[in-house]
Amino acid sequence: MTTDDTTAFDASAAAGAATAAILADLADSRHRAVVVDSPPGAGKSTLVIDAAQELTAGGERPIIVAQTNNQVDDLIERLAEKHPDLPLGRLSASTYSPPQSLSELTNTTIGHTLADLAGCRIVVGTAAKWATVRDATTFGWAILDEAYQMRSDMLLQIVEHFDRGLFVGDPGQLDPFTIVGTERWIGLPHDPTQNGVSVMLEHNPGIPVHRLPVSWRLPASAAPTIAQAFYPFNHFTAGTEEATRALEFSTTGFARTDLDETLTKAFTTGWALHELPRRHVPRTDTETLRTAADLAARLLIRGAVATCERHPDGRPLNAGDIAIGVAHRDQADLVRAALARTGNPRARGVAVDTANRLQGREFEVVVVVHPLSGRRDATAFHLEAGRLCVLTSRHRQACIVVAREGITDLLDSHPSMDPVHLSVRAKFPDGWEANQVMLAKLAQHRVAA
Amino acid sequence: MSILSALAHVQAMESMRAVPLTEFRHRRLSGRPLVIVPLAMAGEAGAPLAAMVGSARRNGTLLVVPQPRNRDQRFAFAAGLGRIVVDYIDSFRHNRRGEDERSLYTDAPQVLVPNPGGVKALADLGRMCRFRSTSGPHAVPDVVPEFGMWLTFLVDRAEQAGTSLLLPVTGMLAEHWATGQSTLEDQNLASLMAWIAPPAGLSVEQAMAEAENPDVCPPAGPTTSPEFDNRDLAPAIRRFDTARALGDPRALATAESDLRELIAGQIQPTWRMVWEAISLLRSVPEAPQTARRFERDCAAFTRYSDDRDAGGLPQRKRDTAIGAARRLNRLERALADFESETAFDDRFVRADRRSAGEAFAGTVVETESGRTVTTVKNRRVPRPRVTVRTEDPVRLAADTTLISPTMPTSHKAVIVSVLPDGDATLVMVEVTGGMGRSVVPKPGTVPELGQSIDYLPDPGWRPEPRFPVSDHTPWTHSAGPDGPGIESAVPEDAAAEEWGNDD
Repeated sequence: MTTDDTTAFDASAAAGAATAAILADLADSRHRAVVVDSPPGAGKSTLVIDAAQELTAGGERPIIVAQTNNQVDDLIERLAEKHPDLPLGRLSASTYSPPQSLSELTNTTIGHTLADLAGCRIVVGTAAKWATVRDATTFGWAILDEAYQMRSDMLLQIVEHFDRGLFVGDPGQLDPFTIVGTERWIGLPHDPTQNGVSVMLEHNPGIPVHRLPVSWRLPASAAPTIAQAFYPFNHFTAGTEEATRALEFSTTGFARTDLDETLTKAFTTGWALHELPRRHVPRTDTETLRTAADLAARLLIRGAVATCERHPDGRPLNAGDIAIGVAHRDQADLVRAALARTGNPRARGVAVDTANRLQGREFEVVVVVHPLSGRRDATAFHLEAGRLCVLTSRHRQACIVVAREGITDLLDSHPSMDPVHLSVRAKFPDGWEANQVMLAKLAQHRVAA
Repeated sequence: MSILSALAHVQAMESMRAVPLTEFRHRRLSGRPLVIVPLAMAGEAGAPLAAMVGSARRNGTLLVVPQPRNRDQRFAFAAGLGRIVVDYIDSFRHNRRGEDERSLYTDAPQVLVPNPGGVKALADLGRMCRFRSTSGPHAVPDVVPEFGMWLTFLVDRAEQAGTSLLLPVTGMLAEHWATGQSTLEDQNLASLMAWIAPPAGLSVEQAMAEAENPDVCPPAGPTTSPEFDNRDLAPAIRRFDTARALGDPRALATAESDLRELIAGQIQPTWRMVWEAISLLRSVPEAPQTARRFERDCAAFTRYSDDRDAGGLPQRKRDTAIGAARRLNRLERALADFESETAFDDRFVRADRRSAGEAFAGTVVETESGRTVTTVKNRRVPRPRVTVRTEDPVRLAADTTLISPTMPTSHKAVIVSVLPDGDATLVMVEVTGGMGRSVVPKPGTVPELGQSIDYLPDPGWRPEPRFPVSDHTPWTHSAGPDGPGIESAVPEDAAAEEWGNDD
């Protein structure tokens, strides 16, 4: 047996043990709720599906609450694929039109009210839709997916629909927020602007909190850094060995050696920092955004073959395997425009979005425009650990960060000095510290443009 | 800050003159506002030092607490200020319009303070007063708790966007004028006024230099200048204390009038400046939808007024879980509605939103005005489609509902597609509302070829969120009988409740 096999075995065993412990707690009637913290790509959806199946097998009729329509559609598709004999219900608003793949499912009913879905064993819907349900039916169990993205006031609107809850989510991603600037509720245990999981835990001591120990998405090159930066108290490992994942060019380089150097660095080490000259620029800086688009387009032109546990013989990457992550919507628009101008028609297929919208998604290679690149100040928004965590933990193979030189100095001149409030727990990870950890790692993979 | 407002600030800096940011004033300005300029004691959280109050420039009343650490004097001050404020509020509780239960007062009070700090000072004062008992030991005059409850109502209401019952003057000024200074500096009434309307004979630079000199322009409160505190205030209070300890009535009277004079010198410049700011603001035309927002203020005022008449309890110190969630939802809606209403009314604000891609304006280049569809209920309805060519960087997705300030009021449309066309963008919209009830739209309700048109997203009607009933907080938001004590987990905000030494 090679060392590779032992590690892989350990990872699956550890993940299996964690799942078993969670399912055991679900069966234990003493707990009103079970919380599962999941690092990026640790099989959260798989757990949701397994738990739903387990509860159904135990005679329950669970409901699943997700945050967006896309998440609900994904869950239904995966549930239907794994358990084709379970009648599923999709609770949706009257304006919702299902995607093609969903309307083809034979065991799924789409309904606007609970009465439409009376025969379904599992009912899935968004939190916003569940909040409009006036039916007094109470279900035994609810599985709340991406629970850390649900605000406490939303939880309050749906909580009467179920007796007990399985809260599954990634605590390291972006926190929910409000546009209303008020300090009125700071320090209250039921602060409505907090996420639902924190509020629930605050009021219910003794709730078991599980952690999924293995990230199946992140490669061995990324997991330790992401764990150290964003999950300081919740260690996890990569589910694959270093050698399992690899990227190779299918053509040799010609011209644009600046981009190629960065791509090569990313292909060989899993990380690259493409550093542009130091300059203070607005966030819509053409050079930075164009570089991000060019890197993605260049990758497509050169052609890359990815080897991984799913495709041991290699698979050529296409535009859908690549994403470009930014902090602001106007940046996303400009990157899309830059992609269109690269002249490569395939480049339009690259996913370009803000951190908020990339949450929960997975790609082979991700190009990140660093939120602090070229800035004069480090605001709480740009320092937020969740934002950087989302951006740098979407990839299975490699992550390329594009930034202007000088972020280290920016961080040094803007130490975090948020006011400290009574009875508010210190938030970990601290955005400033997480940024430092990431920068220290990226410095080892720096390519000066 | 969006591109356009940033540009306005740069322009202001370059020309050294305030630049208007909006076409209208979006806040209602009452014909008879009550101005309060509160001053607080440094180093004693929530301890009032003085206030100047009145509903006309020429009849301001100055109230002073000679020894702010003395509880009795503090409440004598609260009672004095309370009587003026409650009398002012009561003067609006006469004329009602409408049938019994649904009738509303036709007018509502408006309290103006110099800056956001003033709102905070009134909040502290409200909290200090509203729980006081009017009988038993440490009784306070009847008006004190009443005053505290009204202040708390005003402060709570002021948190909601678009309301006008309690407003800081600097906020109103900065909403309309861009200056060459930072947001923080804009909270200084004197320097903000220096940019907008420097005193006669002074340039903006000179006026700003004066605004920053506490001897010429004392701070607008609630905190006083530290130099004044050390140099003048502390010795004056000490003289008052000594006179009181000696029991010398003449010395006491002298000390008290000295103190009043001292504080009057600090507070009067601000008082005059607030009234100047008010007359400046009166010269800005009021936005059309301000009246509608004021209706809501009147409704809130009537509700609270009726609650007072029914002997309602003082507002809670802290919101309950359900109360907080309800309030957050209300505040978020109010903010979204207010932002939309200001953009609807005001071309300048709309331009700002257009520069961010959240609204667009352009020319109709293609119409399909005869288009109809058959609804699920088998009714034929007009659904004309119009294509607008715009040079704005549109960032609205398909299916967004739109409203238009350049069309009749009930006009509604939905985005069908957004396609780039060279440097411009073609937005195809389907008109869905405001065309009358027949199959043929009423004339003028469908945009015509070549017409210029503005569109912005409709915040629209949303169902009222339903929370559990108030006395039934669910398990996720309340500790069970064996859970941790919430009260003990939250330390009392001692400062605002603390009375200090009795003497």
